[in-house]
Amino acid sequence: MPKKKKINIENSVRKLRFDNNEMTQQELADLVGVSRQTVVAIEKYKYTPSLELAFKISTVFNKEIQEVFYIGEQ
Amino acid sequence: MTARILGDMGGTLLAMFWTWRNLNEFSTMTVKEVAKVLTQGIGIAIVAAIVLTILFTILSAVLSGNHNEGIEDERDRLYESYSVQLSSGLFGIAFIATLVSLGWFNLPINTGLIALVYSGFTAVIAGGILNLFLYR
Repeated sequence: MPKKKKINIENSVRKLRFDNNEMTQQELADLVGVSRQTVVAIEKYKYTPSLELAFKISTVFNKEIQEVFYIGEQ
Repeated sequence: MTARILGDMGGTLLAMFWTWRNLNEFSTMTVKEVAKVLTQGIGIAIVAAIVLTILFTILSAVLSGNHNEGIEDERDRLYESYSVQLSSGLFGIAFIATLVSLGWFNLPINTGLIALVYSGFTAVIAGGILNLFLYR
């Protein structure tokens, strides 16, 4: 059986927020329907969002999902 | 969310303390008396958890100035499911262990009842600790 590899999912949400008129975490949270704490956890890579939430966040920034969420260094 | 976790844990601790104080003489008490104390303890746990949750929510809103804690999202639901898994797993193990002790090792019925209710209390607290760890 192949060994299960844990992948490290990172994101550029923080950078994209600043590039979008310095959008606040609360504004992003309101737009995608989560709490500000969840946005904080996503930005710190402490929480990987569901596919649905990842799509919502990408849509807010008018980006493809892989431009926002990507596999980081292993 | 944290207010609810702290409220649940606080209510449970309060009920554990109350039942422990009222079960000092449990070896000489009848099963009926022990069951009454434990049932009252569970009632206290529920009421205290509700009251403490309300108090902690008000306190947190006043201190932080943030009145938006009500929103529950996918992260809250995921962490809640981890906590429920841990709590039910712990309670399940304790339940089986108590039944085995009652059936095979002559554990008195009073002790068995207390062990069951206390394992429920402990499971709630363990779930709360896991939740607090995940939200750290």
